[in-house]
Amino acid sequence: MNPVTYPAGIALALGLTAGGYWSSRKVVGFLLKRRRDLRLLQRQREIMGGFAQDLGEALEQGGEANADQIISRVLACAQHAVRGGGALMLLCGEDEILQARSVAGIFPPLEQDINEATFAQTPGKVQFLRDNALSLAVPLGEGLIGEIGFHGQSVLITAGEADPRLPQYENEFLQIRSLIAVPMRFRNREIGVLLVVNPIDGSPFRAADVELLQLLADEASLSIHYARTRESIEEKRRMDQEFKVAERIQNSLLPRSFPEMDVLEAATFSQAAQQVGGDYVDVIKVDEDHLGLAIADVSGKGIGGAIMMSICRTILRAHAPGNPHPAPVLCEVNRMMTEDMSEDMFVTMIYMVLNVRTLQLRVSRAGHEPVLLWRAGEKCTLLEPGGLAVGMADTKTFEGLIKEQSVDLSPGDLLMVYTDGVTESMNENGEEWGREKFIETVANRRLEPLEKMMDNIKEEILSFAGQMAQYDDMTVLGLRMKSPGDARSSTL
Amino acid sequence: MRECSIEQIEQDGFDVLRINGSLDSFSFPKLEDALAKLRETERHRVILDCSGLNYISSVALGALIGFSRRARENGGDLLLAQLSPKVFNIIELLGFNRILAIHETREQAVQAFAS
Repeated sequence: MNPVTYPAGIALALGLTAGGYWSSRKVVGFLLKRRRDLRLLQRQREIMGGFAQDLGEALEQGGEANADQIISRVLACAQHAVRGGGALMLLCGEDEILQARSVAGIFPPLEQDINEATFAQTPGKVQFLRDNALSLAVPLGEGLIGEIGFHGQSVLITAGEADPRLPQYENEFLQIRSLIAVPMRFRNREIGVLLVVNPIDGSPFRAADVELLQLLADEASLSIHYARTRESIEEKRRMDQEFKVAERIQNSLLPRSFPEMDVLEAATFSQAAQQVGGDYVDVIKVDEDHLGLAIADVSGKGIGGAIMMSICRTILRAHAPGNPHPAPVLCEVNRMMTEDMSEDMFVTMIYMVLNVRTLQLRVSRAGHEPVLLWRAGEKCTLLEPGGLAVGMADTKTFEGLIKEQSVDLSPGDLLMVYTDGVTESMNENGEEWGREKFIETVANRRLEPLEKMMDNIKEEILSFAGQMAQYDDMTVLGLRMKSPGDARSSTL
Repeated sequence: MRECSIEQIEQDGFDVLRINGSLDSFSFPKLEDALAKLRETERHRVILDCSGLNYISSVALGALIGFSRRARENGGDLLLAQLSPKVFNIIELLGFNRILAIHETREQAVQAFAS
């Protein structure tokens, strides 16, 4: 006789003699439930044992299983544990959105967005359902899944066709008849949701199935959390590597220091909006009598923009020597860059050539902010020759539009060239610093030593912007013509 | 991150897209979708009513020029109408007023297409 039913037999006898068919029924009921519980416990042990073994294998393979491998095994286990027709796991990202990560079996849609007629015609229905399930993304707190992920309460649906939380479809493939959803938790934080649907024997899921699934989810959450942590560390390491490369590119775009020059002193400051800046500043020797000065700004941000700027720099440095006029040099840069550049990217640039003997300055402007000039004792004037940004038009159009403006400079004259991140710098009230403010700031510090002036200007911009993150790189190049007393022996 | 909304209307048989708000790399996809739909149905002559446009970023501007170029390749054009002084200044600084077709009013843009 079965050890569980043996006492039942005795109890029954006792119950009958004790008096009351009804009490015996209670006793038998109790014992039968115990047997079910025991079977459930045994089953749970089998499942967990199987899962633990599975996981162990997964972890052994290749040293460390990645999150994907663990997740698919968990899902297979979950589906098998409660004999579901399909299973789905969603994990929560940093953006607080639950993203579908893995699907097993046949998982019908959770939203009312499938066209039944179209679906009926689809040849690969299982694949369609898989793709549909994997595209699911739910913000934490929204809808059935979002709420589970948010409140941490499991859900059991036994009559899907009558439940308003689920979509209703005619096609059997698309129907959810029964559903269990359990939250996945790690240290009291929700990290995801695990769902199983449609038991293969057609009967609805039971409360015991929910318990089992929760147990599994709790076990799995730990492993998955650690696997994901490992993944993000790897990702971070890879990104750091990329940024090191980008840093090297950026460092070549901005001069660390300027060579000692007879006739002018130069100082610059730059602040990138993202990790990689795309602003470019350069001083190039054109010939014994001429010095080229450039500032440029690329329209695309990040590494892509920096690479484009790097190419621009190479082309400029190749064509600058021997050309005392800036406009033809810019035409060459435009010609070569229009071929290489992505259709929508462009570069704005100021390129000037200074004759160090006569102090004549020739300025060409390719769509860039104007050059600001303060002559001794005078107010600021703008040097704004016509032109077009580089990389946007064919050679003929560009050549037709680019102009050159000449000015004769004197010792003590001050020039500022900058990128629009400076004047478009925004504070928390949405106000821009603006060109007028910039001019005023420089005018107030007109007589300060150049380096000090640049530091002070930088201070002012940063304190204006406050905590507000900037969208654009900002760069300023300050140039001051030396007075005769400043000149040293020729090092140009 | 800046917002924008696109309103599609018809004026005298021409497609007009009215833009409200700011165009930058985040909000540009909306305009991109609207323009792509028009292109798919072979409607290459589009007027952008920019009276409600208060800002456009370099990236969005570059993309807009790309669209205008494609429209011209298909025998049409992308006309910008009623730019605010601020937005016009941005475009003029870059020299793009020489490669984009800009008109003072929507009516003038319609006339430009009609002739």
